[in-house]
Amino acid sequence: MSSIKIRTKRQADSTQIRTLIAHPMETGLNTDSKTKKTIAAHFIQQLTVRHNDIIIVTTDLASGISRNPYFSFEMKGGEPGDKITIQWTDNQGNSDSQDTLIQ
Amino acid sequence: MKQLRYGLLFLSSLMIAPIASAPLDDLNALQQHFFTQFPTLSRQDFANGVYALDSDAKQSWLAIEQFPPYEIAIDLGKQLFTHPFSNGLHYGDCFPDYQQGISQHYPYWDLKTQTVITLSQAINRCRQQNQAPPLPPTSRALINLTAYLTFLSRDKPIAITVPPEPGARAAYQHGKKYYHQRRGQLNFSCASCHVQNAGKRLRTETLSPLLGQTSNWPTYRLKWGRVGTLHQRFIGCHQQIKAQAAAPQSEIFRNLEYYMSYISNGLPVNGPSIRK
Amino acid sequence: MTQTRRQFIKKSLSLGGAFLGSSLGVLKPLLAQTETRWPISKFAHLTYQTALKRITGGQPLIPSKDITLTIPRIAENGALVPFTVSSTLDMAESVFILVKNNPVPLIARFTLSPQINSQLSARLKMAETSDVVSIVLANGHYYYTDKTVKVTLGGCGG
Repeated sequence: MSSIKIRTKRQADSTQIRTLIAHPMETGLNTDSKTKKTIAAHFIQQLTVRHNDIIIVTTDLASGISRNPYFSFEMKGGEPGDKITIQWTDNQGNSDSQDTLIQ
Repeated sequence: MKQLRYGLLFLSSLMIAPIASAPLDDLNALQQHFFTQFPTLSRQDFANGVYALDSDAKQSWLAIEQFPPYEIAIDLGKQLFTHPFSNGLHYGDCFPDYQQGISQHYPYWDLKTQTVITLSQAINRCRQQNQAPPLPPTSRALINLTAYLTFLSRDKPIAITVPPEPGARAAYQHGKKYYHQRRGQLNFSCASCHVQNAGKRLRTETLSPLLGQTSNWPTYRLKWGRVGTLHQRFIGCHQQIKAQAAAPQSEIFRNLEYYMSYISNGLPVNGPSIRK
Repeated sequence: MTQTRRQFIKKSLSLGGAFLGSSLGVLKPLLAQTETRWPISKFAHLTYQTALKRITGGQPLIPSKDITLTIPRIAENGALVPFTVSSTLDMAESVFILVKNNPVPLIARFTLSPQINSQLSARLKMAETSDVVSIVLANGHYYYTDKTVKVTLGGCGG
């Protein structure tokens, strides 16, 4: 199952793009209360939004965004059938990507 | 005046065991108490707990509800629920009405085994009937399954039954007694905060009323960064008053859940939800 | 250092091409490309003041009423504080978010193409009561607004 959920909503002359991503966003500054070991940093470093394969937003992140991150953007225009792609990569080398079509 | 009437009922139910008040009388007295204390709140409002009482917190909550993190748990729960057992049968065979919503009837009194059965236990019973090992009470899988089923019951009125049967009545009374009994180093009962001082502030916390305390579970607590259970919250509460807590799905926690859910009969199920 | 819209689109297209080539999938090791854009080692130790200098390159930070930062004045739990930044500034290219008193104050940089409106929302972690600052790079200038958010329960985890 993808880690990325996307919702798009067409408005008058723009499209709202919302995404919710399953990711721990660990800062690397916390200790596990049971093992007393530092929990390794594990957070999304970059997230991109593409409209029909063209990048429209690049988000560069430190660890300060909340767990299970959420982002909302507003794109000019947008037609039914347009493809929106959300893609992320994290500091541990993982990545995921998801497409949706604007309704 | 209403305070006095409730106080008398409280006394009679707790102190004079043979004349324990009927559950319906408790429900009516408590609901009336809260409706009187918070006249502007609807049943839906009570189900929203602190968010009905703290407008700053409510704004923040509504922003998060735009795309709530508990959706991840619901999706995972749905995936688990619709996956067949090794024998080819499904959870749906144990819960044929699940799509119409079933969680509003949990927990219930099981006549045969003479115990309160929670939704988590019912899921595990289904697994055992289908040669699948039971899931630990606070496992991700079990929580996600209950999150999915609870979501399907959204807006259904809570409908807990306490049948006029000695075992059921005893379990209900056990839960009720526990709720109103002082404990721990701070010598509080659940009722000290959530009935006598509901709506007031304890340091930076606004105390939620008993009415509506069970409707939103399992819930995504910001503190936990994940969906968790009512019994896990019980443990947290006990820690806060420096009292010993039982374990999730223990008899006392099931009976406590039974009492608390019954008191909220008529309120809409609104889990999974978000809380601090 | 600013870049023209043309430069941005050219860069985006080339990046887009590189990504089109890769298949979609979870847990796939990626090139070090992302490291050079925003290397964690470079900003992890940045204090608030140093981060500001890095962002503006020494240019002044101009307070602006054309940026709106919507964020709760009291955070229930610092683990998740929802916010929205919107601006009516012309030619907005980037939006930066900082939480002054966080262990790592720099939270995010959003690089916007001309196709994106300056209206974005996200959720951040706050360790304690702090100013939250949003900076918008528009037309070669750095504009900002800020709000103080009270945190009763620190939310960095643990």
